[in-house]
Amino acid sequence: MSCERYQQLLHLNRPGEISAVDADDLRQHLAHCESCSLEWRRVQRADKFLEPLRSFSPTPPGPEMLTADIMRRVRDTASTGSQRSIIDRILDIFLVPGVRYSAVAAISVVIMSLVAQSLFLLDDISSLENRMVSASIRRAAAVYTARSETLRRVAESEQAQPIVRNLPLTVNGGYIRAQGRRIDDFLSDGSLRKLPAIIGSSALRVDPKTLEKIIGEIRATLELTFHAG
Amino acid sequence: MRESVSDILEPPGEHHDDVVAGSQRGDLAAFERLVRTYQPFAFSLAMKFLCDQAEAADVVQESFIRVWKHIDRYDPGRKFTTWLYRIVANLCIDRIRSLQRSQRIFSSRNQETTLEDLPDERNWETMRSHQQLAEIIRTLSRRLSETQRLVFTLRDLEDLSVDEVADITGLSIGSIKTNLHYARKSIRETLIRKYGVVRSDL
Repeated sequence: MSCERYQQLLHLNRPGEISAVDADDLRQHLAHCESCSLEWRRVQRADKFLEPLRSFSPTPPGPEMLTADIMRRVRDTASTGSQRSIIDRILDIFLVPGVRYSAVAAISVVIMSLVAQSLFLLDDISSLENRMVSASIRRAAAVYTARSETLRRVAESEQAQPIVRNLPLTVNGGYIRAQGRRIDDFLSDGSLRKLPAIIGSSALRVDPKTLEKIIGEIRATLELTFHAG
Repeated sequence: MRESVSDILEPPGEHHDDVVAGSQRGDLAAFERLVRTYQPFAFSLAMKFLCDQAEAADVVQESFIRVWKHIDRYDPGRKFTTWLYRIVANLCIDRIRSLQRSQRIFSSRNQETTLEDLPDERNWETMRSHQQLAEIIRTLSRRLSETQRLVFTLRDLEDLSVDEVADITGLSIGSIKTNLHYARKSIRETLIRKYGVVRSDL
């Protein structure tokens, strides 16, 4: 071991800082090395001045005041902490990067699903509106209005009144209004042909031939007016 | 010489455990007992680092506030003093850095050690005032690096074992010894330059 190494060991001269083997080796070296022995005396000389510093145990000038100051600040912290404890704890959780990123991902998924649901809902509403409009249009289209002079004359004829009362239409000021579906049914199921049997030609005070002619006129007018027009 | 913190590690078992456990439950009375027990040691360490009573008292306050806020992180299986000393030492180093920055900005005073700052040898024995001794420590520590100052203060001034210094600083044993060697060598050289080696020492 060199003198430089021994002089390093000299500065580690407090209990437990060098091994027993190194300490023994150092002792033997100091016994015959003048340079290291002088350095050891310098260390011992300096340590006399360090001794009071090692036993230096400063105390606070007012320990009770210091304790009171500490506890006052702790109480302030504690009261503030209890008021904000729930918020703080929640925010503390979000300070962990993994939790923060997971939360951002979860919030993004929730927002996207809400947007998607809103879009589907809007689509549903739009579809419902379309269906309602279509139904309204279909219902509106089922009502026919026609201006037919022939039909008006037939409808206003006294002779035809019993027939007209049994027809699915209304006559008002030259305009004839009728439910298209009822006219379709009326024409398709042969109701018109059954009219003479229903009301009887004697009630019309016309002969069967004239009645047949009137019915033929009404049929032709209905078909022409409502189906063709 | 006062009782060293090493001598009280850990102080009276069950009582100490109750006080720490009570503090961890948020019991302010228990925490006040904890403050009363450990405040002198925290102050002593802070004073040896900062060499100023007001600064030391301020750091002790900050240290116990930090202890209160984070006491749930303290593992009762480990020495409380080690945990406390780590907090105090870290805050002292922060404070020293801050003071050094402000001194660089506001003072043109040379921060190098001057032998005139040390008392005459004949006055040394009568040196009893805390502030006088603190000034000597400040003068002797001025040339030390942050780590050298840390290990010198904990090992030589606070009389902690090398293992305790390792627990507090997180440094390896080898690093602690290396820094101790350089710190002591620097301080001893300053003292020898000031006071010399007298014939009786030879």
